[in-house]
Amino acid sequence: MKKRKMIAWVLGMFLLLMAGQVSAASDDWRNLSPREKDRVLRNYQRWQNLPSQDKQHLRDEWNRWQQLPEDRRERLKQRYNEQRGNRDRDRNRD
Amino acid sequence: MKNRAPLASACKQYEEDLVLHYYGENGQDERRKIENHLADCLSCRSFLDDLRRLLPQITQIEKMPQSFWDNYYRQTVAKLADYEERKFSWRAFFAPMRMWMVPAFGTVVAAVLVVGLMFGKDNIKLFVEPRAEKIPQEIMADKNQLEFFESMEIIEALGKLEAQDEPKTEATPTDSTRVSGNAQIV
Repeated sequence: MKKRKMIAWVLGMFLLLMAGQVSAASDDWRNLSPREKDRVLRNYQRWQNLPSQDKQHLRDEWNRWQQLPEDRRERLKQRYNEQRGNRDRDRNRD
Repeated sequence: MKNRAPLASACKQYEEDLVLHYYGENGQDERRKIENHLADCLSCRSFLDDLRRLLPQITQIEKMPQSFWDNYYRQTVAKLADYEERKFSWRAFFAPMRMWMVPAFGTVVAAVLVVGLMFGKDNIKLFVEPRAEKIPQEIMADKNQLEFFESMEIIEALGKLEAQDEPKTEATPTDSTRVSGNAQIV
C-alpha cells in the first residue's frame, strides 16, 4: 500500500512538472506577436531541412550562446537587430 | 377517570396551607392553626380528604410491562435508522465506490489540472480548433526550445556578430560561419 502511494505521488509530481514545462512554453508562445510567431515557425521549418551536421553545429552554438554573459548577449542581439533594420531599409529602398 | 371527583372547595386563605399540611411541610404553629380550623370547617376537611384521595393517584407511576420497553426500544432504533438514512441518503450512492473512489478522484483532479495547464485559456481554442494554428510539438516541448527557434537567426550569425563585436582583437573564425547559407543573417 505504501509502495503504491509512493508511485502515485511520484507519477503525480512528474505529471505536474511536465505540465508546468509545457505551460511555460505555451505562455511564452501566447505572448509572441504574430510576426514573431511566424519567424519561429519559419525557423522551425528551416531547422527541419538542415543537414544533421548543421543541426549539431547550431546546437553547439546555442549552448555557447546560453553560456555568454547576459550583457554580451544583449549587445549581440542589439547589433543583430541593427543590421537587420539596415537590411530591411535597403530592401525597401530598392 | 370516572371515580375522580373534583376537589371540594376549601376556604381560600387555607387552600395552600392545607396542601402543605397534607405533605407535612408546614411549621408547628401553622399545623396547630390548621388543625383548629379543620375542627370547625367542614369544607376544608372535605378538601383535605379529597387531597388524601387524589394526590396519591397523581404521583403514582404506572409500571409498564417489559414488552412495552422492548417495543419502545425497537421503534426508537428504527426511527433513528430511518432518520440517518434520509439525512445521509447520498452516501448510500457512493458506498460501493468508496474503495476505489479516492484514488480515482485524485487521478481525475490531476488529469484536469494537467489538461488545464496544457491548454490554458487561449490554448483551449487551439485544442478545439487545431487547424486555426498548428504549432509543432517540438517547438512547444519546453521553454528552451521555443527560445531556440525564436533566436535561431542570431545563433546562426553568432560567429559573425562576435567578430564584429570585437574588431580590434583578431576575430577567430568560429564554426558558425560554416553553416551552409543559413549562417548569414537572413
